[in-house]
Amino acid sequence: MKKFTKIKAGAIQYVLVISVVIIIVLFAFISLVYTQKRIQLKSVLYKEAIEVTYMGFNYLKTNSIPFNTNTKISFTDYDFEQTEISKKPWGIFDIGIVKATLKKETFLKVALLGNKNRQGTALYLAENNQALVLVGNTNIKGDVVLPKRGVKTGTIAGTSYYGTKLIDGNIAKTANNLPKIQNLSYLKQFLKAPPNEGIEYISLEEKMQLNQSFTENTKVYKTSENLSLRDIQLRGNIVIISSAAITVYPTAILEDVLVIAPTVTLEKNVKGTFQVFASKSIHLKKGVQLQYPSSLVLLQKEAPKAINSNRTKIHGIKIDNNALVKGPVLFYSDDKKNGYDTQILIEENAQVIGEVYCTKNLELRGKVSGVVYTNNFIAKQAGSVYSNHLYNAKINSSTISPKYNGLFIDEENKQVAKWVE
Amino acid sequence: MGRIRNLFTRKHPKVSASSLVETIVATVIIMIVFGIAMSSMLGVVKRTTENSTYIIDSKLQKLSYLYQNNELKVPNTIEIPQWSIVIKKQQEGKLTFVVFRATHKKNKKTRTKKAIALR
Repeated sequence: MKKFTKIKAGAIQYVLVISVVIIIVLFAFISLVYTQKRIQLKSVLYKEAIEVTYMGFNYLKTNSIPFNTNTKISFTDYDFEQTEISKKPWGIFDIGIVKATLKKETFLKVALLGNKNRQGTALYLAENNQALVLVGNTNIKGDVVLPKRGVKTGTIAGTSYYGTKLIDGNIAKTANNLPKIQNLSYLKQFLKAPPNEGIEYISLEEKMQLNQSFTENTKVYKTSENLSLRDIQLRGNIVIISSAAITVYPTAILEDVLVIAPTVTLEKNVKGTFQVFASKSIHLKKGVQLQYPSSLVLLQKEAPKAINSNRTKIHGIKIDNNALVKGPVLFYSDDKKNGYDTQILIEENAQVIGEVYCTKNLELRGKVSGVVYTNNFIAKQAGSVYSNHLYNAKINSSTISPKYNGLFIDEENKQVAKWVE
Repeated sequence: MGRIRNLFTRKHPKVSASSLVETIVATVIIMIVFGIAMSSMLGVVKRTTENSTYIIDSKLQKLSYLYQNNELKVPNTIEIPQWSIVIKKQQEGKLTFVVFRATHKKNKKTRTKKAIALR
């Protein structure tokens, strides 16, 4: 008797083969989904890191943190998230560095920060017991703060005021001293002795291309001789110092760097984005274009003794025809005597987009898009000097971008002026 | 008849067929395996679509952007299909956040997003 009948395996064999195929396909599919999820998680964390970095910059808007210290904050509910925020001064701007870390994902962003001041004001003229006199095709658009004597029209060499309205905006006769620049003491200190920590000295060569990140040490070139910058490309965390004079030629490409010397001259058609610091004079020749955020800062140590009659050379900031500066232009002197010299001269067809701040005499023949803070205006026309006169000047506070950030005047609200490396 | 059968066997060799039981067992096994595969695949797909927060996340992102650019009042409540979003300020230590909290109307799931409060 046969106990076990032989069962044929033919069909079962096929079943097994098909099952294995199905299982392999299933496994492939599930592992695909799993990998996709892991990649998704990674991208979510990376995206979160980017968002947190921007939160870091928003944090810098409303919170003041001390310079050169690393502040660690956690912005999200994740306990593996940490953001390091640090800030350091860079000329009249600040450098903000935010680094967000979520698990293995990190994101770092560096920006030049300017202060966001209340916009809408076109002119702040300090109380100098004189009325502001408008002559020729002068046009002021925006709110103004004037001395008690206010504003009136006048005549220079037979030219009267051609406008229909004195000021296109609100007039407040409440002027006092000029509003304070909050980081002035730092600027003074900086011009006297730039910081010597975290720097490395370099030498400049012709045809040099140098790109220094703001997360690394500052590269400094220092000389006691006259320096001509030409055929060179410098970008980022670089300071050029001369204790005599610096001349910049159009073949020099400067971006985000600081140029420091008692006398700085920018030759015709120089283009770039950099900050100029001087103690005697800054001269921008025709066609110079300084893009945002640039700045011209002249902190006068002592007033020049000799009365200066030569118009081509002024002890201050001179911006020639067709030159353009996007950023703050600042002249500051502790000396309170006004005299009849021009400290900032903005020539016809020259334009400043940003702030012009002058503690002495401003001779404005060109155009300012933004705001003017000055102690006094001066107009040198037809061989005479007219105090507190504006001749063919244009000031317009509405043509400046609402995203403009510049001088540190109002309460602290540091916002991104430019993303840098 | 015999002649016909001979004709068949001569020209076509005999193929051994499976028994009915065998075929049924095989079909059942294949169906079971296929069923398991389908259900687990469907489960994975369903979970992915259910957990997808893409739409609400991008909505929260947009609201936060609007807030940063002063285009959104706080506190505020916004209703979109399936989600309701509550926006309010919240103090955490030294920091003031604006919290965007979205709650799903059916399954009560929440998504939150924070932004630094403007001055």
